[in-house]
Amino acid sequence: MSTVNRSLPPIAPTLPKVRIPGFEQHALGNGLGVVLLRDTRFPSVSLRLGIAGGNRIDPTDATGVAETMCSMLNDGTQTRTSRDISDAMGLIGASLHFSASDDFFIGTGGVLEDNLEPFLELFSDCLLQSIYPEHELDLYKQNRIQELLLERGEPGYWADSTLYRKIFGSHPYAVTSPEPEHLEALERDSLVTMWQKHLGPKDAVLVMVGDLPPTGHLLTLLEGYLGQWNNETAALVSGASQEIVQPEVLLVHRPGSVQAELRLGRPAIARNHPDYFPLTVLNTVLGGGASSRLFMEIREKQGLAYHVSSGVMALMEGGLMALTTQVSMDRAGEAIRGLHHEMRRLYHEPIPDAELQSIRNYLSGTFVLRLESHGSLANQLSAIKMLDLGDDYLERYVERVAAVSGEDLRATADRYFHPEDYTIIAVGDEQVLRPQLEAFGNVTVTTAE
Amino acid sequence: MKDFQIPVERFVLPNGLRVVLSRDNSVPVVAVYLLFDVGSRVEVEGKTGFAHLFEHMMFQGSDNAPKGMHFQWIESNGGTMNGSTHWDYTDYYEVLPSNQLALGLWLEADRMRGLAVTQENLDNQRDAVKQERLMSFDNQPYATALLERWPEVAYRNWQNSHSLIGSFEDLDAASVEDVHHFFRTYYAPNNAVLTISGDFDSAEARRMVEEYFGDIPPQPQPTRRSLEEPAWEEPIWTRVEDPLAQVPAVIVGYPGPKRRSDDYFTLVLLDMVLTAGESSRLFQALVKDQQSLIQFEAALGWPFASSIDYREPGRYSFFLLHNPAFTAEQIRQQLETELQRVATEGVGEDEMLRARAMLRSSRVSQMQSCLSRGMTIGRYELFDGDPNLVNEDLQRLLRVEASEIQDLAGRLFRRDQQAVLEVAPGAAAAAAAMEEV
Repeated sequence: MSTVNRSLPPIAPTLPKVRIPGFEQHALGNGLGVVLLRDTRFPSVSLRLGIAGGNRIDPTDATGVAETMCSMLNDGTQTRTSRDISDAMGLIGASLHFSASDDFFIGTGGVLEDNLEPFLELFSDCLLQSIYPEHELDLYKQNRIQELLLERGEPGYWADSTLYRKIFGSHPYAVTSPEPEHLEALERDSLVTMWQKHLGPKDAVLVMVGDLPPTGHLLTLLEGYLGQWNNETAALVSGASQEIVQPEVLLVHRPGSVQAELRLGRPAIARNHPDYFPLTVLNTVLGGGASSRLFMEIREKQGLAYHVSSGVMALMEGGLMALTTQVSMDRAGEAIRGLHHEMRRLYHEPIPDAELQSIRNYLSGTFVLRLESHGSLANQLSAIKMLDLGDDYLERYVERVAAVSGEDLRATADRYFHPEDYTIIAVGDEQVLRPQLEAFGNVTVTTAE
Repeated sequence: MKDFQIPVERFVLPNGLRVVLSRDNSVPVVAVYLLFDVGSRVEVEGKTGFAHLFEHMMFQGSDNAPKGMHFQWIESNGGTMNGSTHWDYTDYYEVLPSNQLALGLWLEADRMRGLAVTQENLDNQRDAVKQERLMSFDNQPYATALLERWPEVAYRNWQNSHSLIGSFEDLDAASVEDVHHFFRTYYAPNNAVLTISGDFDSAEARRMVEEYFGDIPPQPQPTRRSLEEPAWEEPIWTRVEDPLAQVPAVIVGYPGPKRRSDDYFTLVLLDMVLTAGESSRLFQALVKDQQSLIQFEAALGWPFASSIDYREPGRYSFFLLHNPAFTAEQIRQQLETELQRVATEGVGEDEMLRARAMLRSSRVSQMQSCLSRGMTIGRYELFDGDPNLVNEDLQRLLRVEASEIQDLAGRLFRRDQQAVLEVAPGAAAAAAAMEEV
């Protein structure tokens, strides 16, 4: 056996350059963008359709139309009942799911390569020929309203919904889930109208990753199944812009709570903002992983919390920066001071070189981990096209992370991490929390119900 | 379907460490996955939650990796890691860029050789675990009912029915000496399985494993308490109020078969017919037709395990969130009607075709990351001593026949074997009563 020194971590050989898989881009006659990535490691295909739109196009007095319009795409077509669709999907072992995110309508699915053609036929039928049967809509509403009640049992719902309402104001991003009364009042016509006006091939990209048939054949198939999709959609008008937010201290009294659920949040940046990379690096330093400052300080040293993290949410029309933790009810004030302290350190002190290098390695390394599965590759290609990140995004990611300098970080921290710009939200017992929160400003109290 | 096999190489070190390699050099990523044959079911009275508290201690520093450095070294080299505690095992993983395989092995070997346990680290992890309990159990709807009340309803043997996360009182009683004792007893190479999956060279990986783990001494096999359940003679029904829940729920469970027995394989298919996807019987009959269920899930060993990491005894259980317009008893009866229909009318050929198609495709989609491949083969090695079952069991499942499913349903879903827990949305005033735990 060799005489290796086991008291020190091993020195790693250099990582061979990561081969970023190449992808092809095409367009169908109706304008639908098609991105194909051939990867024959597994005998399957993952598909992801993205269409500009999403929950941000819901009228403020009718939340839930976009998500219902998407979710019900596989609940009945001209020629198939919802049961026919589920049976047919089961028979070929396929999955297909439609949903609405803040910015996009999304369809995701997967199937073994030998069943690709019947899968595309079903996908096309759901996307193009849905009829939104009344009885399916009634059931959808009934169950969705119960799910919304379920969600309201969770403290995180109250913290997040309060935070988003505060940060996004009258922008549709303020809505974290539909209002049950809106769903109750939702009618079939509004689904059909939204489908016609917003679900079209113009601002849409279909990504397929996996063991694909030859390109010519596949494009012929796609043209056959999706070529007659021709809903004329108007270009999206950007919603209300993000307003100036006056920080506040908001307490949500939740009867029965045994722990304080905390959020600190402020408006931040849209996805295409030049601060995206420095802010991502800073966020990772602060609360991105298990070696982040918040994790090491608040959890590992002080034992105040089990979970503590920070996150950047950067959307098409705006975004937010938030810190999240859950602590004992009587230690909420102490925890907030701890979070504030770590935020200030980001702009008071330079980040040591070794720490910065670690963070760069972490971001670059975990980026490679996302190249493993068909589904994950499809998600990334879809994001690149839908968010317009540039076709060389995957290739340049590591280099962009490396290009962020200490100086950039100091300046960016000074813009985004002053505690006094952050709204504080605490969900829990009013009696115990109020005196602790008063140290941070006037406390506004609401009740979780 | 094109042939799709998970490659498997296995060897055992002289100290008893079982090692399984699964090589795929297409993406420069590697997963190191280590399982120890110890879970919450080995705990003793007065020490509930100890297996999990111990899992936290595994990240608090070892002989050559000071506190905090485990996280730091993994993340600063572009990796991710975690650990988790289960009923019958505790596992740890690192996923790394493949040039860092040695680092993952070195860290795992260092903490298998010796932990650096201090009173201060024990105290702060005890506090973190208490916050974890408050966050994941006490402050969430359903969690306490599912994870603590349900085992008490479904099992009679304390080993099976006690809390996995543990009581505050027992956590407070844990000492540094307990941590050392637990480590010596269970965290030995002959009580562990190591898998390496992804991008590596087999000979080199083997050399590194021998170098880092080879001289860690084995320990005597610990004596284990019996998990056996007494015979169940009549159905049981318990009702709890959950002040944080807003929608009623019912849990119904039946005693499960022995792992990898004929009935076990049949049950995997039966479960798919009943609950997999929107074409499943429960979805079509109860969500769509009766409109009585809102959401449901079911698993062998639920909520602590599923068929892949199930070890008997355990129940096959249904968790049913239901429309408040129905009573819990109506929901139980509707479920029973569907289960009896399988026993009396059998399963159609179309249902068999769907179940097989879904099995095949879920297998391919689940095996795409090196970590999931490593976890699956590691569990087969730990429970069955044969990682090749990852490939063989799929074929066995595809051979299950409709008549076997019908026969099993008749034997399994017996009223006198039923355990039921009703979770009713409760008044906030009930909170005080729940907090005593």
